[in-house]
Amino acid sequence: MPRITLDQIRAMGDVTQTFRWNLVVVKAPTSVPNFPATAAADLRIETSELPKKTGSSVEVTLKGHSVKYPGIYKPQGTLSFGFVETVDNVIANWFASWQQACWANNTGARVPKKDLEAVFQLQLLKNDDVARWQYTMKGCFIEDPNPGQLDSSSADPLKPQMTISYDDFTQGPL
Amino acid sequence: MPFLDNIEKIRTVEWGHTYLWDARFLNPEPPKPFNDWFPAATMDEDIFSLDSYAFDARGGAFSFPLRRGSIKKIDMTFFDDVNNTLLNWFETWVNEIIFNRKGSLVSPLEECVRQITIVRLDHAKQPVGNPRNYWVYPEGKLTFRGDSSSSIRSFPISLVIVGTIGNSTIG
Repeated sequence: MPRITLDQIRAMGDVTQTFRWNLVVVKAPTSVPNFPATAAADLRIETSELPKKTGSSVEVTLKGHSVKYPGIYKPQGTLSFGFVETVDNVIANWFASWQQACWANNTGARVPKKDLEAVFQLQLLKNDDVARWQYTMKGCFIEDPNPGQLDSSSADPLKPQMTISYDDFTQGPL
Repeated sequence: MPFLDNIEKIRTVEWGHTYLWDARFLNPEPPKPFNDWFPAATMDEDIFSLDSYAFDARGGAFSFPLRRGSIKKIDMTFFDDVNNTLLNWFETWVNEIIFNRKGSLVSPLEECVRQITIVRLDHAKQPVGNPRNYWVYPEGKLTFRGDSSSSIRSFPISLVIVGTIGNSTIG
């Protein structure tokens, strides 16, 4: 078979670009004040990982022959968001309130899981910015907030990061 | 169809966690600062102990409940402060109250025991169910061990349950 041609590549269509995406807050926790709505969160989010499930395999070896079967597929379980903070403390309030719901200052108490978990959706967009694919994570809560890095020699914006934990996710076309 | 057929059945349960418990001694309580809480780091509380009678008969082996098993115990590891508050309290309990006549005789059981209260907590740190109250006395040895590390002092101890206060029977 001959090597692919330039015209075949040109006819393949537009490629997916990594900057065309949205973060949607599908469900905010009921017991977390200051949880931003989609508009405020999506406006400030700069980077995101995508969820995935990692599988294991089961191997059967008999008299020299090996056959592998799919084993357990487990969600990676965590996802990292990167934000740009604004002076109205939207991200700082978000992190603080969510963490307080998960582990109250001084007492260590937390609210029931159903009241502190969120549902997020990451939407990937076509080149005309129409949503084409979604990942929806359920059972999300804040696991590792990183408020960012200060310095003395730049005017860069503060960029907090947050690792969220999720129970499972779905994916599919929109 | 499997019984556990989807992840939502797991997600909707508020599972218990091993750190959600608390304990204190009463009647009398230890000196301050441990008079209204106890610095126990680990706790193993026997809930029940049951022995079976097993026998072989024609056709196979059989087993049925026979009697209460071994004496129930509470095994714990606790920390102590720099003043040896709890070490001294346990030492007094055993050497002066249980061995009340300079080690030659043992006091009546009624005078040997103290009350320990154990509570299980929910995630809001509120008690779940009634506290479990026991009459206990320490068994075995309490040993002070020094070494050359900077670890916190911890002491394992075993408490024999001689009675349950409340709606349970003598253990």
